[in-house]
Amino acid sequence: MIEQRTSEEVRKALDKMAAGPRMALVMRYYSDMSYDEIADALGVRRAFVGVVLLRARHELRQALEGNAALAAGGAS
Amino acid sequence: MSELPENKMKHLDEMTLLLYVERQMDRARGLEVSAHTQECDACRTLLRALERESRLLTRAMLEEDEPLPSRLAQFQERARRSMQWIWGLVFGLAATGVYALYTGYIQPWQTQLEQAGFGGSNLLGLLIFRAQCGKDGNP
Repeated sequence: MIEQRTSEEVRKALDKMAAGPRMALVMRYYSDMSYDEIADALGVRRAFVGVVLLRARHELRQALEGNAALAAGGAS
Repeated sequence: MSELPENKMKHLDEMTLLLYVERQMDRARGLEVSAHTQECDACRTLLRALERESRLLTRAMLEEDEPLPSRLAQFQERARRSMQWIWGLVFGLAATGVYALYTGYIQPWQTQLEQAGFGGSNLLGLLIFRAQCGKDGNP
């Protein structure tokens, strides 16, 4: 979970993500688009939007862990 | 001791909880999830974490516009440094232009006048003399 992270860390991790998953997160949590709108924009079935968002969240968490590991390596 | 029903013993998966958080679930299924999370600590913890994660995502993206003043300040600082160079360049060009104008036009013209006997002092004397003559009525 990314709940303990700062907004800055989240933004840096978002920058490192692939365009597709990042776009899905931006459409949902920044543009506040509905699942139907996201499905149209991404060209997927509506039922698949939840899967896309969940995968994007997992990718974001991995990116955050990678950033944290890099920061720890840089600090040591 | 009564056993819990099977549907209450199985934990909900993350996908189900995400759809519940995102309100993308039909009412009946939503009520089931709600009832389960009220009794299951693990699922309730995951649900709360997903909710906080959603809020953090939204906040992180919305705050992206906030550092604009600092970015603007950086831009202004860069522009100020650039302006120093620009003013220096403008001054240099202006000085070069004045020098070129003097050496190309004014100095040759002055030399020609001096050669013709109309030096700086002579020309001034001539002008004063002619003005005095005009007042006296003599040509």
